[in-house]
Amino acid sequence: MLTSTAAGAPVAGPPALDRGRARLVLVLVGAAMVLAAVVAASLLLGVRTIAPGQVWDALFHHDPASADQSVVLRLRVPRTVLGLLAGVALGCVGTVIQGVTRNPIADPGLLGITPGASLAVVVAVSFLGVTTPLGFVWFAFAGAALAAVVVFSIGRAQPVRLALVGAALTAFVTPVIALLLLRDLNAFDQYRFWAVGSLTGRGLDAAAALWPFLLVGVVLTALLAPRLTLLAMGDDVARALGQDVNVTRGLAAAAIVLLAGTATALAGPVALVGLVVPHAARRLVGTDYRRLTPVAALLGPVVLLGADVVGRLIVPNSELEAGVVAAFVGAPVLVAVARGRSVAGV
Amino acid sequence: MSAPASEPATALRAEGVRLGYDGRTVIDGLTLDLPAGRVTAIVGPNACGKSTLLKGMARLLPLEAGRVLLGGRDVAAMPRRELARLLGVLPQSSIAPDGVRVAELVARGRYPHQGWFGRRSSTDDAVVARALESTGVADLAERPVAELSGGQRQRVWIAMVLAQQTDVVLLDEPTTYLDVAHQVDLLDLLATQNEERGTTVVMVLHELNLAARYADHLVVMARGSVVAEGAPGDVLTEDAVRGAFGLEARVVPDPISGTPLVVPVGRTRRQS
Repeated sequence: MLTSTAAGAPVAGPPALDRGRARLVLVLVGAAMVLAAVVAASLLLGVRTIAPGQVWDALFHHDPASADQSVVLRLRVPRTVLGLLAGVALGCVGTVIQGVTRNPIADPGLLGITPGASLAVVVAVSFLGVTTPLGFVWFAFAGAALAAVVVFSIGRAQPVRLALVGAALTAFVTPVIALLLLRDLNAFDQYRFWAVGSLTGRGLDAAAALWPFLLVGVVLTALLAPRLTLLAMGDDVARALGQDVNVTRGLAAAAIVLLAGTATALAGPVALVGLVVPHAARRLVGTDYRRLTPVAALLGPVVLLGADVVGRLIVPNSELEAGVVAAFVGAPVLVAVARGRSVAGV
Repeated sequence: MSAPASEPATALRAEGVRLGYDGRTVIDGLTLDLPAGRVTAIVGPNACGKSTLLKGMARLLPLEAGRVLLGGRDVAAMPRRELARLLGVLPQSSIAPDGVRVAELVARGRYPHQGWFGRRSSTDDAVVARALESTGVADLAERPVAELSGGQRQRVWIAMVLAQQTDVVLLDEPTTYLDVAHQVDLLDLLATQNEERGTTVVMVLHELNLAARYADHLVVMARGSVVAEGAPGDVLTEDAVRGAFGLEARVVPDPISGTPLVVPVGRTRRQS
């Protein structure tokens, strides 16, 4: 089977490795094409029927007088940009969290990070009178960061402990949120729109404010990928191969704060995307994080933006929020993954 | 074995090391020299600290006191990557990620030799191919590790450590969970590696008779200390077995290798 070295010919890589690389290229190209299609659909489709020519003109030969073009620029472009950014963040953060905790069901929700963001938004609305989407953004970000710091400092980077602390934090925060909202109907109205995971209502301002955090988070994820591949074989094996495991955990914590904070600030507490995307990517390209992360970064926005587009079409003359659709789509996907062979494949 | 006439050099030296977990000290003030280019087996009763010592020497567990010298250099002061190019370790806690293929896992042993993103070179490919062949798993290169038998899986892990191309290899109970045929098979593989490449092999073993047969240097531990060390024929006496394991035993020559063969006496089932 293996390349013969007896003849003294140059040794080719074991076929398993080379085939994996070819497959990665194929998957990346495929995912990029699907993403392009989803972005196009997000610009073209909506409750209001707008001709493709108008969409094109809005983007490249804008006529301020056209109502159709105004809808494209004011509504569809921002939500597409938001979906792209939040989707990338969710795809990356799910992969990093599952890698660093070696836990196949870990996601920002499980670690208490999304609930932390939600609590911060509720506090902002009911006590500080914050009402603008851009105001929410910073509170969501701070809440996510604070929750991550709490979970990582108590969990001390031990996989099982992290999950337990995250679950405890979620269990503590959830009723507090409910309590605060029940006392204040106005806050409840503001909050529920944010909490449902919608890509509308937070304009390009939010994206403009947050993209640097996302960028740093994505760079950290790329740096982490080879480290997570070794960490998957256990702390001792990773150390034996020359990795400082504590550095890996520190970098991962920073990446998780930045990415989960960005995603939650941009799109609200979207469930399941961060959980499902890494599993789908693992199915496509295997367990090596150097292959997994770029695929997850492309599939994240495919799922989130795809859910948003579907949500616009599924209810006549109205919309379902992306977070709701993502949950409906994500749950069956997760069940399918669980029934498949590679269930615990972290 | 190309044993030089003089005393062999020391590959790895533990000097007054203290090791433990969460404040519970397991080993205190232990000093031990492991000869270069030889096979050393560390034996001892359960919980005597042999795995802990191995972890400490490999820097998988931080030393609370003392130091470990690899070729005379303080291990704690070396960058981890550099250490990983000189010292290979197979810990007991290794996890084969689901779906990972044999060749892929073995190739991960090249990590300390690669750039930060782990790009493969043709040297890496050649080393991986050789590691697969010398451990007899080349035919399995394409198979998922999870589908292999225990014996095959253990060979794959050893192939990963060999792909690391270190002069010193530490193995923590490499024969655990293997049947006797696979144990002998695996130890032959390590002995061959030692003879052909001069690799210093240090392993924690449970099976005393195999340890005595395959080790040039036998270290007996009990209660966190080294109680005897040296050539197996000198070390593994009836007194030593009683002292370390609390076991009454006869020691007779192994009919195959002439090394000590420990036959436990036990309380029942004796020939009348």
